[in-house]
Amino acid sequence: MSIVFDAVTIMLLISLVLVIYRLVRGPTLPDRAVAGDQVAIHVVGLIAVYSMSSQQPILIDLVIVVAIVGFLSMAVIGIYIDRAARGKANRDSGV
Amino acid sequence: MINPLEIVIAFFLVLGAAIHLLSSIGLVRFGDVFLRMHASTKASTLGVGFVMIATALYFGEPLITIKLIALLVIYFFTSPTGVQVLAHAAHTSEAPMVRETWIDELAVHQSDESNPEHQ
Repeated sequence: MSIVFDAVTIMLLISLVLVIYRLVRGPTLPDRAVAGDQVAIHVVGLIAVYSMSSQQPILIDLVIVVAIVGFLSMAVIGIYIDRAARGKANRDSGV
Repeated sequence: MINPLEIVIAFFLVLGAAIHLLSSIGLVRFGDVFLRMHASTKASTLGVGFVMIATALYFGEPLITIKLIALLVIYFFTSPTGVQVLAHAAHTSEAPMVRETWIDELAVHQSDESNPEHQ
């Protein structure tokens, strides 16, 4: 069973490397926000696998916190981008 | 002697990790931000679901199962909400689209609203 945990951890880490490539390179800000949410989702998976391999079920509480923080960060960045774009459009049309 | 429950747990874990990997490949390979959202969010919700099912089966305690069901409910409601906010913001900030885009219904809708005599 530990072989399965190791293999799944390695698969998730490879996937996380691809996500971090997009997080670093992403041409626009929404790309980076999507990649940041993906990082939170991968952390959720990694914590779940680690809680199984180390027999620590108390780590499941941590997973819920990470999930909520990932959602809030994505939503707040989305609202920020929306307000910035609307403010720029209003300035361009008002003058 | 291999427990058949362990085979089921391993199947769900590998399936969840494979879906994560596929969504990350889509996140790297696709052309614009809307396609990347399409690739990443739906697939990773499914991947988290499979990993959570495997965790619940592995521990087999009611309290942990309830926590994982709560986590799945949180994901199934918050992930589409956040990505919808983000996609609307990306459209408002005029994020570039791929050349093959042939319809943009939100832009058509907004231009109809801004000059009503156009209809």
